[in-house]
Amino acid sequence: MKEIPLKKLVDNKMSGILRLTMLFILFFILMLNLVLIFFWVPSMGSSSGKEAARILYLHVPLAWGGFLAFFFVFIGSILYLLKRKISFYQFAFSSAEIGFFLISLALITGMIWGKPVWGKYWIWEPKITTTLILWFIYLAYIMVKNYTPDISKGMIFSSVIGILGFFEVPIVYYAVQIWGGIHWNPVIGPAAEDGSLTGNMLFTFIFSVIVFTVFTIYLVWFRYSLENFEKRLFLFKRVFK
Amino acid sequence: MKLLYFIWVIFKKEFLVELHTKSFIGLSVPTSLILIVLFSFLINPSVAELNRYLPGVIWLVFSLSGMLILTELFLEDIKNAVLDAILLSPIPREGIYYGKAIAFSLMLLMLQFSTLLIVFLIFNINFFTVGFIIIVILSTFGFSLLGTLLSAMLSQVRFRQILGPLLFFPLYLPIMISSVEASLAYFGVKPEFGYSTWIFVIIAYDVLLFLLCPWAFKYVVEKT
Repeated sequence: MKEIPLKKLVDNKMSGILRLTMLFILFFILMLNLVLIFFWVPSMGSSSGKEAARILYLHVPLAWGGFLAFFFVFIGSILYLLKRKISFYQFAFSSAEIGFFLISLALITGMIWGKPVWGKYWIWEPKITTTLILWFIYLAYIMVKNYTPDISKGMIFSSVIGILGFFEVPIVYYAVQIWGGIHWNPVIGPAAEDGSLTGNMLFTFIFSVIVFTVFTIYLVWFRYSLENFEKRLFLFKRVFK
Repeated sequence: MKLLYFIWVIFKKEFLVELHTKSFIGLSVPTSLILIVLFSFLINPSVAELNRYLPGVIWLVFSLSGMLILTELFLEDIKNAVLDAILLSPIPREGIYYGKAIAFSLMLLMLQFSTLLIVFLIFNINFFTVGFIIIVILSTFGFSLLGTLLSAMLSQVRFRQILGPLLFFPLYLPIMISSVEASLAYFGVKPEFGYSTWIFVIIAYDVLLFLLCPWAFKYVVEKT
């Protein structure tokens, strides 16, 4: 058996402290974000969904965070297939879990928003349907890893799914342009219209997007260090059996 | 040129096996027949409803019976250790992949045309027109490109019958949606969206799969 260096078994204390500090900072920024969304920004839209529209500042950044995480999956999967370093796969898998979680939240917030505006929780509309398909793809990504008896094979399979699946993300983003439907046009990115949000709303929106970007990166990092922890525990068990 | 020869060899092998056993076509055509019968029996559609829903139903039937072939495509080879022999031979992985994919698309086309024939006989709607056949060929090509890759994957996975549709349909859906929309546009049910746009989407996705899948296939079949 290969000799395992002792350094690999010991947790890096600094990274733990850094993670905790980050968590505190993030907590305050997230709280500030909520205050901005619920108390500072004026309400908008038609009378039926006037106050409900505030969920926009959570719904869109959550979806954006999900897309960002899926981009990490795409990059991590390509690097894993080319270089075969397990840390790339761990990065991709952690991002996939976080992205899956964020997209689930985006779907749920969308449903909560849909009830007052459209009168029902779920409508079969292009953007929502394609998002659900994206959700299924990453569900398959996680499942194929767990249902493959050979662990290293499972990693390869899910990496392939992660690469193929990422091509669904632009379809979701441009769904309103392609098929129409009653969903909002994008308010962020290349397809966004100028002037769909102004003043305080724009500020809050951008602030929220930035907060959720940092939040996504933090979560991926946290999940990745957990994966690392697992790996260390596994090695630990092997050494001191 | 050598790659073309290798593709031909693999294709011939697949085709001969199918010719002798007739297992895939023999199973999937009756399946599509029974699905169509169930549709007409349970839904009992009127003529107007048929025009609206039949393109979608055809693609559903075709995909479900295609799924049957897909999960089994590599299993026979693995059972008899044929796949190991092919992998050991000097045939490059791309050759194996394209050969299998072309054989698979031929099987699927046979399945498609027999499904369309059944539909013609049962519902008296003629789908054998040039515009529709183009959609069928393009989407079948995409089905087999993606299907061959996933089939190689599924042959090494537990619960493949359950996991198969869950893996395949989300990834195939862009082509499936485009095919249905293109056929609806072609038959004038939804002319506002445009037939050529959807054909272009299918072609774009086919090209993407054509380039990406053989690359991924290399990793899927490798021995670890």
